[in-house]
Amino acid sequence: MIISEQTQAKEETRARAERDERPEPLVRPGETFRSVTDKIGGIVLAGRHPLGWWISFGIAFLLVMGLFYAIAVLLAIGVGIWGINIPVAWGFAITNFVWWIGIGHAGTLISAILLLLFQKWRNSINRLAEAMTLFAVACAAMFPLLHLGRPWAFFWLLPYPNGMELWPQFRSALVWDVFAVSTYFTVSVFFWYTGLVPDVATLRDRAKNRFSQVIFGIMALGWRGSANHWRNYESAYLLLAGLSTPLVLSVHSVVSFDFSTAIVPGWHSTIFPPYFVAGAVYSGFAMVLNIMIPLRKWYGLESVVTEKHLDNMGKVMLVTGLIVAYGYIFDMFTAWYSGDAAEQYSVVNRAIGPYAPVFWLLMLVNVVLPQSLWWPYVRKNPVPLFFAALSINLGMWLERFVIVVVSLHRDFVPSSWRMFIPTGWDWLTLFGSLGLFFALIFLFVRFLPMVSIFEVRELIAEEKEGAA
Amino acid sequence: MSLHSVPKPEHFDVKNLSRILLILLGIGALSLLITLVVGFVAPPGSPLRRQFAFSWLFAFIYFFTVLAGCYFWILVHHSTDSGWGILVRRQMENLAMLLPWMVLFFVPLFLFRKDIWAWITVKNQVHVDPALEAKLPYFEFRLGHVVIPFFWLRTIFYFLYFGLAAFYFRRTSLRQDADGDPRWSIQMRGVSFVCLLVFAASLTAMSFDWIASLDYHWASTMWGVYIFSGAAGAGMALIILVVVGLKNAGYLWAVNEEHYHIMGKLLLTFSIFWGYIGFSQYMLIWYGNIPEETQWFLRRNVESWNVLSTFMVVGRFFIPFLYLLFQFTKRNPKFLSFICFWVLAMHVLDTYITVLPFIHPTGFQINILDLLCLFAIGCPLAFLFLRTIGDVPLFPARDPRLLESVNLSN
Repeated sequence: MIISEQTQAKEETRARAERDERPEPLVRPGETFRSVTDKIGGIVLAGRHPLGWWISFGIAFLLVMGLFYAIAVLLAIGVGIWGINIPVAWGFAITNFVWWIGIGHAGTLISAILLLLFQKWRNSINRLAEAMTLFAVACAAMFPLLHLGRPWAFFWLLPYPNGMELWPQFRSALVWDVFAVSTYFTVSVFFWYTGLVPDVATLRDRAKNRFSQVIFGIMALGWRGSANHWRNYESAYLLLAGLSTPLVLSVHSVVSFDFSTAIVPGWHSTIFPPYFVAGAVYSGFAMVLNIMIPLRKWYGLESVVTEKHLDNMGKVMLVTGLIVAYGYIFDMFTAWYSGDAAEQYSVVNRAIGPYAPVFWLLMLVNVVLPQSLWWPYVRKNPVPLFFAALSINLGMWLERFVIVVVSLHRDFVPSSWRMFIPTGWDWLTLFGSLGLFFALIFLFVRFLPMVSIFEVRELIAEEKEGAA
Repeated sequence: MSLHSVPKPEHFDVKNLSRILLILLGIGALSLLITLVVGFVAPPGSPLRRQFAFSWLFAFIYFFTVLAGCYFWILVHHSTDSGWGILVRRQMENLAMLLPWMVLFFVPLFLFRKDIWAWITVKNQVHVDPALEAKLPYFEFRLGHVVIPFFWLRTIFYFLYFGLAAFYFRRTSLRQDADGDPRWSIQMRGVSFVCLLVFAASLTAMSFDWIASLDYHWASTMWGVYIFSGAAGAGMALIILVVVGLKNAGYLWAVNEEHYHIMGKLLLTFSIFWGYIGFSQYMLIWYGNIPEETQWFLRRNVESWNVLSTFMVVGRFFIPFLYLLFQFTKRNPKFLSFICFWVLAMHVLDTYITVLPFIHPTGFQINILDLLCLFAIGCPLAFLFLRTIGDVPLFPARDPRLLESVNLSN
């Protein structure tokens, strides 16, 4: 009797283990080549959009108008309308810049690094993530330019031959930023567009009205789907992936140099480059989820963006989140261990200074709450995952605020300490940039296929092969 | 060609190795004898005694980091649920099983602690260096009247952690060999997550304790990551060499160029990672130009040390990077083993530049003790490895995902 119970228990664990080992499908069964093309292509060609799209786009559009207004006032009056001062010369503008650049990391990571790692699950999320990258980098690039004081002289940042022999300060990390971000943006555009070509050709062939046919026809660059085209496409895509991979690491490393090359307490930390990159991937994946979860519901894409995708993205967030937590812990430890009074004070000031609530909120939303991702329930269910991602997005913004503002507001000389209090214009610019980002995302969803049709079809073919 | 039947377990035949084992034992015993005699005979405070202590530390850190790197790959393997490396995983486990033995090689460091770690002597001086006083609680602190030797407690913890974890992973993997139950895979995956967290914390704290505290003024938040990046790359190089060696000896027939290719890619990745971490740390300290920080690199950039430091940048990053970019170098076991030897040699250089400048500030002086200490620790470890490799099957033959590894394609 006891033996049979034991055997039964063992059988049960084995069955459970095998169930756990079976790979979950990346495309739900029942989807065919045709159904996928109809479903994804139909979103663009049919042009009928759910109420959620209209409401969200409406809100985003209003925020863009707010952004334009804030920029107009900024250009007319100057950066004095913001809460910045000396010593907090970098207020919201740089916080937002770093935050947006970070969000712009997921696209290239998903497209390039996961491609090189043979992670097939990237196929149904890469398109949206890449588009998101472009829009996030565009939002990011806006902030340092607005912060210049005289934005119309932005081209002085570029090294161009001129009669006065005036060159940018090449030894400044801020100039390295100009190169890093513009390179990243350029390569990301190429990467995104190259991946789009076969799908745009599909839309060209399926479009019913002349206008769409012509526009998609021009965009498809004469794609006919011949074996030659595919061969060239595959090698170009792989090469671009190889090119983009170092960029994913370099851009945020260079952004981190903006801080870590300086000797401001709280900024000068050698771990910043990898820690910033991990944080960037962390927030990038969080933003992909915050966009993907509602879109997948509205457009019924649950069969191509499955639980498996949500689960994997949750795991990436968990790992990168832990690296970020490692950064926090050893940053604090080293500040204490270094014995440097200014460094030590910068940590104490974060925890109990005037901005302490921001710091503790950061710890809560960026370190404590994301630990919920250890549970498969949270990773596999859209609603809790959405909130976990939202928490991370807020947390990463707060992290940059703590680094930028809290470090600056109390530097070496107590007589020069000053508080930074954001004005209405600061907030309007921040939310306006969110509006710009989401408006661009919704337009993208409206006019181009948000999921890569041909790559999902590849997955279906592979799953059929696997089943046979 | 894909296989549908599971390959039969293989066993290593130690008999053919008796000569090699004897040689290893001989060289090891001789080196141990010479080094320890020199260490104990040299009068306290003499340069020779310090030379022995630092040479031993250098050799100890070298082997400990390489083995910790091998152990790291077990954790990565389980936590990422990867199927490619089942065939080579047992060798990672065998290598990690050498970690518990490292405690024996730590004994001389404990005995010569006053010659090695400056804080041990400085803390008892009448005027304690204020820089040390501030961080003394990290090394030891008082609870009432009791002195808690925090430094040594941590050292005990590292050995307990690395030893027990290495033991656990191999024992569990052997249990699966016996009953083929997939439950063990799932259990090891769960344990590996926790072990990864402890690994990150331990390796960082260890790199501060054993290495950075040689100069207690200095601190860098990147230091733990730097030590890790070198360890993981060197660990992978050693794993590849063991696998290639077994393959050449006629074992592990199911391992093919696909496995080499993946391991080569990981080696490439970690060569790049080392370059990235090393550059970031160096550049930021150079740019910040704070005396407490720059002194670490100043020590290594003066006199003849500069030649070694410059060579290390080329040797540890540029050469493996350019070499491993090609596919054929990763897929061909001969080409691949060459660069693995190279990476392990560069890790020797890296460890040398990290440890020895403390006793030779005016330029490097290669001492016979450096070499003998490497032999004194390395030969017994190699002996133990070869002696015990035949005790267990060469790959986990009943792992439920073995076929995934056998039929691997890149």
